[in-house]
Amino acid sequence: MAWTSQLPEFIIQRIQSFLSTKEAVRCSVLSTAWHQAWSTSPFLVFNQNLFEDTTSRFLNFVDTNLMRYSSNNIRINLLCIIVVTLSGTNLTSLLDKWLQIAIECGVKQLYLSLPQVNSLHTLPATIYEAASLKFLDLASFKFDNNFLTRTIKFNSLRYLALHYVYLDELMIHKLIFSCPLIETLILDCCSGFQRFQLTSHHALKVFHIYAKEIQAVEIDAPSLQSFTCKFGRWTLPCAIKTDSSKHLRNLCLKAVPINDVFFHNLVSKLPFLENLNLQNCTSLRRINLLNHQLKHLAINSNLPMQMDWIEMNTWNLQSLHYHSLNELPYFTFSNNTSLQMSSCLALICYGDLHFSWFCKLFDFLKKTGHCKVQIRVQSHARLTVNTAEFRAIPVAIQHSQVEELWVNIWSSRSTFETLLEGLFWSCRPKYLMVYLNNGVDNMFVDFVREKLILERRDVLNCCHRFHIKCWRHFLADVKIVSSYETLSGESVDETTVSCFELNWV
Amino acid sequence: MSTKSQEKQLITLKSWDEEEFVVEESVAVKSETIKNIIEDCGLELIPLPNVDGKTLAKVIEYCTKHSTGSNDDSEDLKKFDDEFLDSKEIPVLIDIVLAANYLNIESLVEKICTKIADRIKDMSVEEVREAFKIENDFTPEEEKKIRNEHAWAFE
Repeated sequence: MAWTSQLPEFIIQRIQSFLSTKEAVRCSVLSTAWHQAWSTSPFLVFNQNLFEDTTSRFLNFVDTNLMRYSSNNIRINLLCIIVVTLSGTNLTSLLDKWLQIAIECGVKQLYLSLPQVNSLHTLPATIYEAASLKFLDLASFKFDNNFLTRTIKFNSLRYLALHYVYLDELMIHKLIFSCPLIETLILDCCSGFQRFQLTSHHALKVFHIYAKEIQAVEIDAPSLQSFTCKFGRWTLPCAIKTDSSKHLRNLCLKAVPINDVFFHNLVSKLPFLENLNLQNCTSLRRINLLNHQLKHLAINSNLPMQMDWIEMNTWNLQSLHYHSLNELPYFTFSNNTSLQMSSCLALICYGDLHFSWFCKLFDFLKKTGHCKVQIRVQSHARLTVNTAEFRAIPVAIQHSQVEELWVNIWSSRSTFETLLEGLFWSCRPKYLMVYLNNGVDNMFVDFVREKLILERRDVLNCCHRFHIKCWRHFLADVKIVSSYETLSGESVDETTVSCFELNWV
Repeated sequence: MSTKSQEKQLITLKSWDEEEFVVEESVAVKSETIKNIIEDCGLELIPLPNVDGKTLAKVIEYCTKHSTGSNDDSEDLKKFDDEFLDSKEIPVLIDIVLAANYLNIESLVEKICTKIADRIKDMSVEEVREAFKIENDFTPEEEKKIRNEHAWAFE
């Protein structure tokens, strides 16, 4: 029963729009209806990455098809052209022609990507006539010299993304001024300007900026919900002003050299903040989060941080991620921060570990007792700890329950042993995951099993001199688990990770 | 226009094969078509002659899950969507996408089209024809012509 001949053409076209060019072409041979759908599809995607043939054939393919659309007056809703290698052909005139066709055919979404080369192509001026354009995404272009005097008809533009585009402050100003309805603005790896200023923009909701030379960002956008800012250099003085954006929900700062005072000024004015993501903000020492709507906090750094203290007054918190090289700050949770049971706290550490890290870990666990915590440690350097120091930590088992402890094996066995020792002094994980970067090393797994299970036989003898017993006295049972679903939702099994279930007394 | 009361408004949807489903208004209006009917005519029993009962039940399942008020990006919803769609064969997915199109539920149409595209990706031309029950109405010459024209795609 050929009921799919009843599939409306635009549903076939919709399905085809999610296929690569090659796959869509293959579909065109299914039946005349599918061929018709494909050849008049308003979604045109030409991606050289997925086109297995020479550059000139690719450009020819694009050209032939666009010419066909033009001569048959077929509507184009979406046009995406991704060029990966230039073979010396005169791309500028081709682009000009193609843009002309696209605009005549009423294009609404346009994605143009050229390879990143030193001498950027100039964007053909025809594009400024595209009054029907709603989405514009450009990569590796520069604007022409007459840009500032042109009339730009981007009245319908809602989404504008520029990647690797060179433009100066006047050009930005003009560009944004020409798109009054813009809701999403992305400036990614753009250069040519140091200050970015956006005044009285009422429609803007999402703004991402990553500009290598940027020093100051000033936005006056009352409807702004999402702001991501990445700076290129660490030590410049910088300014970020988002005073009027009181409804901001998502804030992400990457490599922004802001200090505590500045951070506080910024964040305290955002009562509706839900997601806060700080990456490589290495100038922060002590931060205080009073944002009651905050649901997700993530602090990542692959550079040395000097974060001392994080004070949280955030009772809606659902997840907390802290990834750092080798230090942990002290966390303080105010009385009315009741972290919900479903909160996922992840502490990830990869670097030399010192005794203070273990102390702070223990402190953290004491304060977040009833939450599910995942700790991941990848330590491959020498550890400067000795067991005697650990006995000084007063272990209270009910405070140190950890749901998952992940330990990556990088180092020698003795380092690994010391690491495990330190970790078990500071916490009592329910599940211990041991893994190598490239799968499981059976010998190592046996070693861990030995250490945990077999060593317990000597348990009575090890601590008879000490008032505080070591962790071995509290480990009742160890089981090997063959498959497990982690807190973050991934499924692991014995081929990827060795998982042990530990029962503590 | 039906008066808005404190209780949740209930709407009855009736498929062409006379199956009736009682749903909350907030669930029913996930369909733009139904939303317009309610706003224009204030009906409480809405006949849907283009949808059969089985398919309508599945559409309602989707709409119910997606009207709990939580953010559309949430992990739970994504998981539900994946399970909901992955477990169904292509003929069933097509029934649902046709219904979702008729009922104007944009998000569901898009998700199904994406899933179907994902499945087609790894199939040969013959396998797709079989899965979709497509009759090949090309003459052998016509088909050959297309394949030659785009030889690079058929390697």
